[in-house]
Amino acid sequence: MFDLEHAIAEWRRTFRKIPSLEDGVLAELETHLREEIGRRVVSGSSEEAAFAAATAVVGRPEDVGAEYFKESARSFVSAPDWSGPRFSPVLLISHLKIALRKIKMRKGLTLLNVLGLAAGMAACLLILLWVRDELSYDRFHRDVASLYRLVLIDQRAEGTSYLTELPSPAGPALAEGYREVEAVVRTYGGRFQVRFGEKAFNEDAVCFVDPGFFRMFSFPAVAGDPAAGLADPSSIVLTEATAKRYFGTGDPLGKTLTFDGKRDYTVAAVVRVPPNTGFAYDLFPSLRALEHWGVSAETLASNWRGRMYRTYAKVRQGADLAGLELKSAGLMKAHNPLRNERIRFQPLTKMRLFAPDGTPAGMRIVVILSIIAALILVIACANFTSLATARAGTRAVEISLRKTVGARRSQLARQILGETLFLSALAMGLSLILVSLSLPSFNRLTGKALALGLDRPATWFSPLILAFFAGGLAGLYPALLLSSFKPAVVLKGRATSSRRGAGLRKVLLLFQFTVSILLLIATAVILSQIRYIQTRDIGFDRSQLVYAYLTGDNRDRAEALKQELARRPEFLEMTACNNLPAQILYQYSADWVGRDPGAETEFNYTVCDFDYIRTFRMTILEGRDFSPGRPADEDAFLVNEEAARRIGRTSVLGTRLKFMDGHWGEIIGVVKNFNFRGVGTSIRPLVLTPRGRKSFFVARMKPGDPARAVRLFSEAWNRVNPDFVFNYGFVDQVFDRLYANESQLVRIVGAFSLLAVLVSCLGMIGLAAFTVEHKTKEIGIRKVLGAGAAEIVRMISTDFLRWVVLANLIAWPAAAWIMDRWLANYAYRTKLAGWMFALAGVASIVCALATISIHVVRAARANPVESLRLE
Amino acid sequence: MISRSLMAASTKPIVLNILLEGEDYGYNIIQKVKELSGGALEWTDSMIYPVLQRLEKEGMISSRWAASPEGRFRKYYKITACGRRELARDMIQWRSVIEAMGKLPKPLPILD
Repeated sequence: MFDLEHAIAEWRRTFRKIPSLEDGVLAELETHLREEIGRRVVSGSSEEAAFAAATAVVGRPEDVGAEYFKESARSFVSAPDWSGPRFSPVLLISHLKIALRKIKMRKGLTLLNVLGLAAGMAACLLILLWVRDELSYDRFHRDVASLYRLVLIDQRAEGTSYLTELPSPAGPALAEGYREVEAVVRTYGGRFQVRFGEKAFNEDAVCFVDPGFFRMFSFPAVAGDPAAGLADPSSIVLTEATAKRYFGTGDPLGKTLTFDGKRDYTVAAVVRVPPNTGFAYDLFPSLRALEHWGVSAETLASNWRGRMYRTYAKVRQGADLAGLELKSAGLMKAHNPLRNERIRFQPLTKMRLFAPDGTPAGMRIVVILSIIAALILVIACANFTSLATARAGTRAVEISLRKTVGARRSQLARQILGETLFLSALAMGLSLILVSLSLPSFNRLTGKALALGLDRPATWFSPLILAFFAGGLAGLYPALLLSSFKPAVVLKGRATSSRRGAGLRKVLLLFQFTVSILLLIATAVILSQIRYIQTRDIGFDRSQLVYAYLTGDNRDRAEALKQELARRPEFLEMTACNNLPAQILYQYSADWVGRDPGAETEFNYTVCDFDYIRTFRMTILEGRDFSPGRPADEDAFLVNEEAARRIGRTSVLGTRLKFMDGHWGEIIGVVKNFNFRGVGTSIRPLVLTPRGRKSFFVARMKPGDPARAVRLFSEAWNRVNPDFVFNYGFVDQVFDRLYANESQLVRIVGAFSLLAVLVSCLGMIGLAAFTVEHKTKEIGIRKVLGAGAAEIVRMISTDFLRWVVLANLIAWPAAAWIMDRWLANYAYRTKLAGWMFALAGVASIVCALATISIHVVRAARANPVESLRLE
Repeated sequence: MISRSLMAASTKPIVLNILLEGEDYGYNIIQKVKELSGGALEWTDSMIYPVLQRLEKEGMISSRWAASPEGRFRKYYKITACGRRELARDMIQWRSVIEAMGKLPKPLPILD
């Protein structure tokens, strides 16, 4: 049965697809169709035949559309634009003009939008720069795919330790014994005072390296041939910066540097060492030169006891690393049968971000900061979207009008998206400026030398992608929303426009605030942990201690210096030692009478004089300190509690201990444990001995005027040590540098969480503006009905505050869980306290109130007559 | 078959002229044109409605929706004062052209 109405409805639908046919026109065509059908039916046709004929007369939709288009088109676009994509410059310009006009119309809000997005992008870019730098460490070596750091794994009853310092013969033994290991290089760091003519500096970045070092690692040569340079044990390779320091612009090759006034080294080559490497040293003498400083070639080749040499290897591609590790266990057993050691090959590229035991220490921070960057960007985009949808109301009329004059929904959506992308591009431009301006401070914060590198075309890639992504993401929802308005509904005034998308906006705001609060709590926790670490009793008093670097074995000078300074009331105790307590790294194996064969014998050690314990205010728990009145104490030892425990007696006093160069001595006292390696790690056994080179002079100042004390110190120094440079420092600062990672983390996270809060507040300002505008009428009415300003304020604020409180409720448990996991990384940690959460909560509420209060107060005080009249 | 360009050029004066007699709707205008031209001018809706739309935009005619006596809704068009002036100008031009053509050596079509 032919259904005429249905057929006509179908026919209508085919015509509706044509863009240039507006609703009114289609209606007219339909009446025409009906007239035609009616006439034919009257003259005898069936309805079906009449319909068929009539539609034929009217014509195909495309043809009709084309006719309409030809009549109405006034531009120089000659074909209807549904017949294929055509690039129309006119259209683009028109869109651009409209976008600019829009911006001029609502300058304030657009500025807010763009600023917020720019800030988010800038933060993102900064973090990305940092991440890129961290990930790039040591990737520039030519053979990097085959380069590995050797980690010594020592399994003992109490646990496994992972050491980066190995016995000196271990590396070469691996190279010799296993074909897969193609080359091995060892390094050993040292400190010397280096002089060239008038110029002298205390160099603490000296690294003795095997001659193959510059063959294995690719540092570009600036002068000379570094690969061949270290063949002669009296030659040395410098970095560019160091060469400039000593020789200015002159040619460094062939010149001689004197170490500690004792030994000369000739400059054989100059290399450039970039900042993103684990080998950031200044001077590279040959490892064989160690024989000038007490380590003979024979010792190097045969001493399996000490663990002092960092070792690196080049391994053939495709070698079985796990198998190598097993084989190395056999090798180590052969030389140290009483221990369970093996050697693991850790890829060089992991050196920066992964600890020797494989835990992703630095990598975690990279991941955390990347997540923060993404979150900040998402918050900024959320703002953008939020504000754009809120503006939907004001644009409803414009959109509907455009639809009636023939704009398609997809066209409109594309146009709005285009506007968003334009704003996003503006924001990107602004953010690049922001990044350039803030890079110097950021570099200070992170201790890096990051640069945008805009001169390289490749660097434009990521910002552009970012802008596109952000603009697209932020603009998608508004575009879809705005273009879906039905003209008829809107123009008749029935649309409650700003209610659309209100749900999404509220969710976005909630998300923003949750993230911001999370970040604030994280900052509080990290701060607390750092303060805990810094104030925790570490077993000695590190304040008021100034140190200077003594060169070589200057016992006489140390004594002379002590006498000079003892005369001064500004100085209390003084000592000379080989290492500051924060820098005790090296281990040696100990032996003692009655040793249990299974006991751990690797002890850390420090060389110190008789005044050490007193100067650092350490505590003797048992026995006694070194005593000047007993010269025999030169051969004695002090041990810490942990070492005493390892030795395992009721009392270790009097035990004869063998340490280092085969020397036996008596333990005369036990020192209370003190932290010498950073609070994250547990305390290792330590031996204190007066035998050895003491290159640090440490003096305790009377609290008061440190500047004056330093001045007196330097004067005394110059009297006693006229040919050596006075380079001083403060012991507590050295300790603080141990926690540099954490302090840096807290500063970065703190800065960015403030930024996140700021961006969230920006979003809130915009939303508050709109809500208030939207509620102007309501406020007016309420005022007329007698509401006071305070009540109005309360009315609007509670709505927002509800969401802020909800954000807190979500953020607190999440933050607690995350920070608990983070704190678990530390051997000694602070506890999560209520104030951290409460503070963030209060801060968020205060911020929220502050941002919306401006608008709210203005609205509350507005004259209700005005607001009602406008409506 | 009249060529498209001729048809296109002539629609405006013809429509305006028909509307001189009074208000009318699209379908009817097409029928009138077919009658008057004796079938020589067969207008389709795809031609006339766009023209009507354009004429309205240009202000020469005005429109309104109204119910026909039968109850059907139609869009009725009426000529405006501006339209009358435009029509007068057009007719003068057309007359000149036709007169000129009539004075050509072989004015009538050669049918062989």
